[in-house]
Amino acid sequence: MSKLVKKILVSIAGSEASIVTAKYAICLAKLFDAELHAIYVVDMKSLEELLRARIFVKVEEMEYEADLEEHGKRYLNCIKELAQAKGVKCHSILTKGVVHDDVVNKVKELDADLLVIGELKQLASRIDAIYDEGEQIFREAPCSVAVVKNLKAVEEMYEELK
Amino acid sequence: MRISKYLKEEFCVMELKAEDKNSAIEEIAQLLKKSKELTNAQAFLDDVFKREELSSTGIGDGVAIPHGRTDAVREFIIGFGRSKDGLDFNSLDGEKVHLVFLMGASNKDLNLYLRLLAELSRLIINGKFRQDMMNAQSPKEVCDLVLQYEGMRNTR
Repeated sequence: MSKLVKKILVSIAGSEASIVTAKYAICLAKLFDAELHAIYVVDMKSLEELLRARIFVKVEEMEYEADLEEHGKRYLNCIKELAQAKGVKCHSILTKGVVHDDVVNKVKELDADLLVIGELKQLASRIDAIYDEGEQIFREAPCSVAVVKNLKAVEEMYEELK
Repeated sequence: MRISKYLKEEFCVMELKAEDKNSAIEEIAQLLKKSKELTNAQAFLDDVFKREELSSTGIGDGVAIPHGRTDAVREFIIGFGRSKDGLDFNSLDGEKVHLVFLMGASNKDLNLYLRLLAELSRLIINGKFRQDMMNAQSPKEVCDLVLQYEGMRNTR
């Protein structure tokens, strides 16, 4: 039987919880002996929206863009090290654009079998689903999507992984 | 990502006593001292004023959004103040400011901050929202309006 999961992409949102999401993806990559990729997208859509609304000035937008890029690199490096510690190689991807578009396009480009994302937010209305990046990734991804929950259990799973 | 999760009645002032930009920001910041997320009010103000030096956050249509990224808050904070007479904010359209949203966010979660700012920008481009905020009678009504308009933003 061919391998069930060959290529995993994990989407990193740049929060502490996304490190746990990555740990789950590392466990799966180890279990399936799959190739692991981690993506962080600098949210240019929000930056441009704020510039258009004149809430940001150009210099401020550029500063945020640079800081977000730095932020993303730090998270991706951290995940790479966490993967390495468990004998898994993780390929880092940093892009700038619309978060859900870039993640979905990368799934297609890599031909990933599984996308791992963080827990979806509580939505107050159906309208929220239209705007929420996580929801959009979940709905538009062309492959199976694992939504990571119960962070404590994931932490334990990662710690126990040999 | 919802502003209504963070805007509380105790952080809203219905008629600012302040007559200028800096005093208005200080008056709203005074309310935010009640937030356990604000750890150093002076450092927060310094960061907000530093941002004001770049360009006025009076963005037009009677609205100002003074804001700053700062290490003086643990999580996102927002306060609101209204001036019926209007404040001179050196606004981009030269008009007086009536609605002031003061925001601060931790350097740790930039993505959250960006999305909340973007959320607020979507609310305030709605003229009906601005008018209703001008007519609100109480902090509760202000918070209810934010919640209500967040839920209907696709009908603009």
